[in-house]
Amino acid sequence: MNPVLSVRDLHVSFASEAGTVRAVRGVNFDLMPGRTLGIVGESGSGKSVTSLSVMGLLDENARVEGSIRLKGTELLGLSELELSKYRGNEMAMVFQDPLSALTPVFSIGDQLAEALDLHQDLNRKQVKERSIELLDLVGIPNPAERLRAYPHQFSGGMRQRVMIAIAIANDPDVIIADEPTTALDVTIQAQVLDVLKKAQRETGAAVVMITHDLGVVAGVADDVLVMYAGRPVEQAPVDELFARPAMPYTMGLLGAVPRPDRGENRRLVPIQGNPPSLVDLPVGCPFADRCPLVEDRCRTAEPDLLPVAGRPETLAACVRADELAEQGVTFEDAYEVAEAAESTLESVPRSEREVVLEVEGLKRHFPLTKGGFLRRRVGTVKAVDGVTFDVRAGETVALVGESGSGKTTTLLEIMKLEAPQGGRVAVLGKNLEELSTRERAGLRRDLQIVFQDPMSSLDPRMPVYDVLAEPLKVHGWSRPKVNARIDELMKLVGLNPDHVDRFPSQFSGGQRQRIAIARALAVNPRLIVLDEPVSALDVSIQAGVINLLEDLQAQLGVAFLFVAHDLSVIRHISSRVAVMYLGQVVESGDTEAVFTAPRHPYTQALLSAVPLPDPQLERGRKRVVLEGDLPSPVEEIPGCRFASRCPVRATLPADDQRRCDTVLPVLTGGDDQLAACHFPLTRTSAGLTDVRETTRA
Amino acid sequence: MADSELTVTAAAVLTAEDEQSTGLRRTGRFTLIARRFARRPSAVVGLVLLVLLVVFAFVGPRIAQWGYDEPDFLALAQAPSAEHWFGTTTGGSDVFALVARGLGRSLAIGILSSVAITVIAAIIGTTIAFFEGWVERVGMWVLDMLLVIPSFLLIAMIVRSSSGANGWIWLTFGITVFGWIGYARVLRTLTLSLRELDYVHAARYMGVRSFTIIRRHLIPNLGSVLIIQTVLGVVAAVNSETALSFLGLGIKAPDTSLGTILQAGQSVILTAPWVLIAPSVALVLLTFSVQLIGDGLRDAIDPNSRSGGRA
Repeated sequence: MNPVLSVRDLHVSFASEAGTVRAVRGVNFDLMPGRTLGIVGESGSGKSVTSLSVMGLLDENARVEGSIRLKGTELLGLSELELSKYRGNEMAMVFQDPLSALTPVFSIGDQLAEALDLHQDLNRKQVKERSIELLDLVGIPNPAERLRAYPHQFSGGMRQRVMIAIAIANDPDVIIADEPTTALDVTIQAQVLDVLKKAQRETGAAVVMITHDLGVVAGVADDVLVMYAGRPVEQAPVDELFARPAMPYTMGLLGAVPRPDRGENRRLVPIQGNPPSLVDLPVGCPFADRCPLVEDRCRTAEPDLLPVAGRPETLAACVRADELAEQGVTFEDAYEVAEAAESTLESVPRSEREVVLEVEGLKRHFPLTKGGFLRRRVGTVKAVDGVTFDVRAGETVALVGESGSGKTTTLLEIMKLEAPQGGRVAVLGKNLEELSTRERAGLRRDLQIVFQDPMSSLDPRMPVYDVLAEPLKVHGWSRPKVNARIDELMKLVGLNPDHVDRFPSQFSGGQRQRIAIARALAVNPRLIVLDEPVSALDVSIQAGVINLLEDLQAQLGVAFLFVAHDLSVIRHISSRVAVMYLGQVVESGDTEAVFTAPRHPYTQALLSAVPLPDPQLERGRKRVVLEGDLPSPVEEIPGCRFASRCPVRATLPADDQRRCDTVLPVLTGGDDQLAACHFPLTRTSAGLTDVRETTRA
Repeated sequence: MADSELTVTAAAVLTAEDEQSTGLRRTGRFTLIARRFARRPSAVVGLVLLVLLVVFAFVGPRIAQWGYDEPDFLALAQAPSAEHWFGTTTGGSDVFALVARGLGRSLAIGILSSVAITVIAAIIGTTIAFFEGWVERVGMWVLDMLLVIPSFLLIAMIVRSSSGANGWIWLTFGITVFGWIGYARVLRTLTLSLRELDYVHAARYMGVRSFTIIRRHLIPNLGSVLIIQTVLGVVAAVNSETALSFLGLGIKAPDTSLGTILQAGQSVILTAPWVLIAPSVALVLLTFSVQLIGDGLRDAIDPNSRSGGRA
């Protein structure tokens, strides 16, 4: 069989202030019809640039060399006009951000028709029929009516479906999907991946799936290409790659991902250091500086991607690949795992620990107004509507939920340290409603925050010393004490204290996040609020930051309120978890209990939607795929907020359904696990157990 | 994560110098901007022109054979000659000396008021945006009210009541007092996005005082905008100074400025065109060069511009 797409010796470079950036350096692959090739790699590894050069969508200042053949036709060197004959027709692309990939001023129908008209000669009626057929295929309800809708009337997941519909409109032979689900929530991600698989089945197209998420690759890819510093370092069938990686970098990646399906608290394996600068690459293997198995010969010449002895389908770019494969080395052998620090509070049972934060029935509603001059209130956005949880000394409580569930609003309400609109918030036993200005200023020392984006959380114009000194000065520390403390803080978070004179832009993302953590720790707080602290980091870096957080908590006994959407990170780091849906906590309790036996149907669906970084388990798994999207928070819902999407409600008799629709459930259950559901799942509920059995196997 | 990795960030090229001292990174930023600035020929031309004009304003009065306030009654309305390089006015004043002095005045007024406008606008604009709530509402209302004041007229009235010697200071004052309002509105809009950045939130949650946040985090991060605004503001200020003086509402004799000379020249444009031509050329060169510099700076500071060169 001939490959539909064949890339040979692709090189791409860009101009920059620092010199020429060699973003892609020699990519080779063949894509067979109907197969899915997953390209994985961390940011800056060249995976997106590879896909954009195949589509011919790179910026003018890029220089592309090599060969890209689509069904035997050379694409490199074609003019824009010639390329457009192939783009959208024989090869199509699904972009990461569905918000900006559709034109806001044209209806969905117009945009589909545009794709069809460009490459096919159809009359209006045929175009309409085909459009309806396509929308139906990607699972958009009432396709005939929705053709007239505009992109802003669709949710993110729906827009991504439309993008897929446009991509498959002309029966392409190759679909390139560049991080198609990264911007989506996990339950929506599960839906979209299903749609993509279905689209592939219908068209018989080959798919190039670009992603940083090993779980997604495990679920959809047939073959995987791992990229590092602009080069492929390993290529293998998906099962082979996950079971027996041959290149130390791949081993490290697999060791660095927290597993959502495993409870035991295994330390994560961070890969030391950062990827090299693409401007100024070292001689030899670009991974050598971070590789635990490095030898002298690694630094002499860059290894080529060659077959590995004894594994016919695996290619690896490592001089020691044959040797490693023969010995069956895994990441546990290759990487040294530092011991976790001993916790000082380990021996104290939870019930005897001090409560550092208590939130009870917290409410935050925003008025929705219309009109410019005379504002009138047209509704209420119930961003947070009854959130209850508590955090005790030295533990990590996680708030989980999809976007729009009110996690961040909850955090901001706590951080403001002002009387809440409704409900009660107490920090270290002090009710926020009764605080004097003085007490509030004092509490600021005990409560600190770390933000998601390490780029924007540090002032780019202040050297690290000033960044760290800021909270200390506020609380009146003297200069010599500040100096000593900053030295101590830098060591605590694993940075070189000599680097305090550098500016944030000189540090990598992971290091910046460490600086942000150091700043939060500076004044010895009792509680640190972490708002998605690792979601902007690559997995290998993320592992290091998670380990750091665990060690800091053990050493200092500080409590964490950890907000994240990544369930695997949460299972790894937190001891208690509160699951939020549409402004309410629907389930809370001990992390292990909630993850192994969820009682709320939403928690169950959320857990089953998380992709596992293990292709065999991924295939054997039963998914609870939720229908539809999150309802708008403006809607008045008298009963259970999850009722509209609930898989359990659908199976209930009419009477019980009415109860779900009209009566708001409250958190009930034992001390270790509370759920807000009228008909909570039990350990023996149908379907549930086998999901867990398979994931545990 | 060990220290070894610190050398591999995107700024790897700069790290070697940075090992040595604290301030080097800042120099690095300026070098970068200078390099990008130098890549635009038009910006360099503008800078050279401006330097020449400034030199002319400083050195001109010293090398001229006549002072701007000592008329040569033996040479009324004379064409350029060896003695009067740019000719003389109908009153016998040396046009070279007048233009050198007038250019200096115009430059002084332009630069002073532009800097003052930027400082006032930065403080008020960021403060209004930072405090949100009623401060923002009242502040915006006041700004909108101030915008409708007929500033040209008021400046004219202020300058009219001053004496000839310190008239230029009053003119600078007038241009400043009525010039910052629009800029303050622009800066407020820019601050709206800045105040939502995490480091500003972080500072608030740490308990840093509001004015410290404004001074430490907000204003420095508007830096590039402020620089460009100050440079381009010079053109605007020079233009309004010239216009006022031309109408006889600005600088008055015995002091002089480009506008005053132009006004003297326009009545004799047919008989003694050099009186008009010399200051016009000086004015055009001045605004043109500053404009070129402003454009060049904007592209050099803006990371998204195309000053990055080619692969």
